[in-house]
Amino acid sequence: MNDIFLSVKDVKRSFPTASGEFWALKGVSAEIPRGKLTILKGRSGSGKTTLLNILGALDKPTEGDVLFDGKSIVSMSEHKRAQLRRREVGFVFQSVALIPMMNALENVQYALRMARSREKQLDRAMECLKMVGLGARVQHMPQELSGGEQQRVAIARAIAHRPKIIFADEPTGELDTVTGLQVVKIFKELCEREGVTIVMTTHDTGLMEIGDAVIELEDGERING
Amino acid sequence: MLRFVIRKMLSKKWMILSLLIGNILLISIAAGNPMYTHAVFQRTITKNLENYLNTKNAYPGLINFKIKSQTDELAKVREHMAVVDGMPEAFGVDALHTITHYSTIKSSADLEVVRDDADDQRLTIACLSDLEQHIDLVAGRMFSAEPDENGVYDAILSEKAIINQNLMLDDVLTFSRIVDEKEEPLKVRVAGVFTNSSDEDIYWVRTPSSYHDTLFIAQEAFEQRFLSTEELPWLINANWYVLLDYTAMRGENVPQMLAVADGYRHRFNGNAVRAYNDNFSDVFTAYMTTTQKVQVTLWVLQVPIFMLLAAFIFMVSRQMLEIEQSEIAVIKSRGAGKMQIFGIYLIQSLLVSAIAFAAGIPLGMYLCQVLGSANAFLEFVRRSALPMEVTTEALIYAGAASLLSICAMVLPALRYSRTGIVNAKRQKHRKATPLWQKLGLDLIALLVALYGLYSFNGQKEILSARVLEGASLDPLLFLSSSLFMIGCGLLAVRVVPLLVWLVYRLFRRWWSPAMYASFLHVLRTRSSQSFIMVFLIMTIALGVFNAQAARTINQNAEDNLYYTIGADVVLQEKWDSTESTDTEGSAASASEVIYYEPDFGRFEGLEEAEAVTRVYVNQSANVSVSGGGTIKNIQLMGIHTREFGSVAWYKDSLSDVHWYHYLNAMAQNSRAVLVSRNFADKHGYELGDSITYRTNNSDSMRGVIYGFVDYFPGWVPVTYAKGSNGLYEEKENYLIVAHLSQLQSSMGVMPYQVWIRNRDSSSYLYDFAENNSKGFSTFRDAKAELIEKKNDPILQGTNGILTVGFIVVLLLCSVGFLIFWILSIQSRSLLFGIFRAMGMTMREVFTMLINEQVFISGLSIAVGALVGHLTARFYMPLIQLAYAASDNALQLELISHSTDTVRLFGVIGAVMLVCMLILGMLISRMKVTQALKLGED
Repeated sequence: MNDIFLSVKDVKRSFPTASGEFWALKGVSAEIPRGKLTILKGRSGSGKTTLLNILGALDKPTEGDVLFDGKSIVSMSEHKRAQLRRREVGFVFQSVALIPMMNALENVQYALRMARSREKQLDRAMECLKMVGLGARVQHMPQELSGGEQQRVAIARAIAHRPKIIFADEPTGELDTVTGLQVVKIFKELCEREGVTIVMTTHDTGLMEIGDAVIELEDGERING
Repeated sequence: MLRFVIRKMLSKKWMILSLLIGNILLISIAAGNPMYTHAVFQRTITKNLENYLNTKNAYPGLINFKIKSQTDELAKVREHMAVVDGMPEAFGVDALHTITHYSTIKSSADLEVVRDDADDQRLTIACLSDLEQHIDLVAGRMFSAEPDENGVYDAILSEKAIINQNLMLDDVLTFSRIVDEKEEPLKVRVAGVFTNSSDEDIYWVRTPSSYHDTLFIAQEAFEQRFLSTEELPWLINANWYVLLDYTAMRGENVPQMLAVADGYRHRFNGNAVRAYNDNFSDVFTAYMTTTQKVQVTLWVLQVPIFMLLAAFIFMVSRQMLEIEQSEIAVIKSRGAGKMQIFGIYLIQSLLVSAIAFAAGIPLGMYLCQVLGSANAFLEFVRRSALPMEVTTEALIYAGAASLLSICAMVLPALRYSRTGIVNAKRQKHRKATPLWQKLGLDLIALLVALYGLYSFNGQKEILSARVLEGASLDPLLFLSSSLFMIGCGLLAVRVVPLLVWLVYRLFRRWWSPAMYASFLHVLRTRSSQSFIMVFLIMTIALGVFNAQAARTINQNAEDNLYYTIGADVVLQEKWDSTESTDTEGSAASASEVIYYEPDFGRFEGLEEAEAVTRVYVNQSANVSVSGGGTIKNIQLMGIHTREFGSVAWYKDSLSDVHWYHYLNAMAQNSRAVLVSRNFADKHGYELGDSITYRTNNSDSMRGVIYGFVDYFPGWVPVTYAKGSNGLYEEKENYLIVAHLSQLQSSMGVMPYQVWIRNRDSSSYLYDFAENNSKGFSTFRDAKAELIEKKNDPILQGTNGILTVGFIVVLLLCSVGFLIFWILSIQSRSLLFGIFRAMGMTMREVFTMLINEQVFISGLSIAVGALVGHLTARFYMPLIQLAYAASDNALQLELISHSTDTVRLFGVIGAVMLVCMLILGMLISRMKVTQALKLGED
């Protein structure tokens, strides 16, 4: 098995703006190792979220290619990409994005349902929620939970269907330092125990050391490595 | 602030547009109603006055004011003349003529040259103002203003007078009892003979020939001779005719004019000396009863439309506020007070209302024209345009409507401006049961409505008698039908989610992720959907109800008309008889009148008639019952069974078996008769019994009962007639149908009716009547009567309002539907982003939406259709009473036209399709990354 899970090849992404094309990514190449926690670093506006979206098959690059476990994402159909997201990818978003009409447990279960997991859905969902330290309040609706709790539910949902890779966009952005640290610890554990590849963006330099690899972006270009 | 509000409005142009649509419709309907009733009433009053002119052959604007001057006071005549001169002003209508007619009482006169043939002449001296301008002289010359040197006055006479009085030109009459102060008797010369110059001249309130004993002298001469002294030596009748221009009489002035007329009557009538009379008071009184009835009926029909419009405006403003919540929060956080936020929404709603006002009034006028040309439901004809004008009443109603809508637009803002953003958000997610559900308002409404239905049904007869007496139908009845709709709608909102829950639970295992999510959405965000559900249910229910109500009212009116007449055309020719030719016949011969039957073959030969038959109808036959008594006033019909079957109008649904079975049964025996069921039940007849009946001028006849009928063409089982106490009472009518040949063989040929089934129109019969007939004593043309009936303001207004209501419902339904769904999608863009990120395909997102449509819109529409149908089924028999005539013969049958249903659901289907297309476009354009707000940096 290849040790490189994602390889990014000279990816460029432009957005049309009123004053002409804006290049958010100006040619980024990188390789993301399997089963490791990779950190995407950069100031706001450096293009890290754009890159994350492309890596997670949510967005397509204007130029360049991304190999996802050896398969080119760019040449995939929209339907295939949806299938890929459904089974092999988990997302944790900065703006906590739980489904408002489902309670914590249902949110997690829903990911299993989406991925058509053959596991006992209730057991697996409970397991994941316990893993993120939220065994007690599973029947609560999202808006009844605190920000940290919501983020933990989101993580539980991202890992429930045993994805190969988890993308986390500023997962600690809206959390206090202690909770943020807890979240990152959970990620680290996931990498070690379940062999999941994790890519997360952050601008918190304190968390930088925990990452196995760091990709630093500035103005749409990679400045390290 | 104004600029800020306008910028804000422009940024929400679609919402504002829908608000405008709702407001414009509201105002146009509110203003349209008074304008329409005003116009229709104007048309009605003009028509009623013209009818008076045509049927009574008298000028409808006539006032006749007269005094007998017994007290020898000239001042008194002058005083009353002033009253007469003030009349046009008091009524507010110009007078075309004010005619003064003075006359002396009859007095005997002697001719100067005594002729043998001249009797004792008793004549009246009179004058008519402006007489010279309205006559042609047939012989002789005009009178002059002064008597001649011998003191003889020239007079003119009508043709009738000169013949009746055996006078000749230049005859001089001496009235020995009319003397002046010198004791000289009055002398009058017959100077000329006149006739009216035009038959159309309304000046001739009394025809010239009615002045058959009157000598007209000049007005100046009359006044100088009889009215110049303070003491009237003679009894003078002063008659004034004021001819008010009836075409200028306005519907809205009718109550006031009635009051003026009553005032005059009160002041002058009651003694023999003077009297006020007019022709229009009776017309006005009848008009007042009709208009009151029309007004109540029309308003009450519109109440549900108003409620819907208000609900629509409320819904849209609430939706708009919901998406503006965060903006409000921002404005608040920057220090804006409650009042300022309230002010923003007040200005916005004022702007919307102002635009709606400007656009709504002309639209209201246009709607009125549509109403006026409505012939049936969703059918229009060219009629003379209604005299439309913007009345103050219309403006007041429009103003009230905009006030209502401003409240509906501002009230939700008041709530939002009070509760902070945090509270609002928390409220939004709370799954609290709405207040009305906790209070059980739906059940209460339903119970009240059903109780109303029950109690109204109990007093149906009283109700219909009241309507015939001119009362309008109890508005509570309409209210109760509206309540029923609302109650059902709310109950559905309570019950439908349970149904959805059941479906969801039953198949829980098999739902795909998309279906699962959409079910949870439907079930768990109920409060935001309950409004659109109620709205959809109400609009559809009202649409279905309107369509069925209109169809039912029209079809039943038409069926009743055809049934009571019996065929397309029923006519009776004038027959020659021994009675009509021999007027001085003795009493004995009058009882044995011999009729000369005109040739029936002329009718059979008519090409435009599909079938014709002879029907003998006698309303006053007698039956001797076994107990020895006689039942009078039974309707006896003599028919030719085969022909009758092919001519008469009958509705198959009236009886269990086809009515031909009755005719066939009867055809077996020449003595067979059919008897009405009510008669048989009352007097205990059974099939095969023999029955003895006779008419006033026939011997007893025996018949064998071959069948009992509940209905029969041309026979009305129950009528309402004014009883001796002045109230309407129910009256059962009985019927015997026998063979025409049988009747003729025992009574001889009596005048019979000719019943005709037309191929097409009946216009050929008018030519026929002119060329081939001695004229008809009865002529009933069902088609013509139907057209007449449809011009009735109540029926016409009802059709118009139901049609406009239906169109408004369609519009509201479409706009409301689109707004709700577009907003629902927009507000959930984040959610869709999450679903897409989690790997949901586009197809699955669509599946979700379609599922939501089925369980929210689809179910609501289905429930709405059901509620509308139920409301029509329960309440139509009662509401129908408002349109009832005294001869409403048939049981009400609920009519629904599939075309209406197709139209309604076609439009809704199209709207749903358009909605889905727009939603699809919105969703496919929605970038997952943008939806998730990931691309913030």
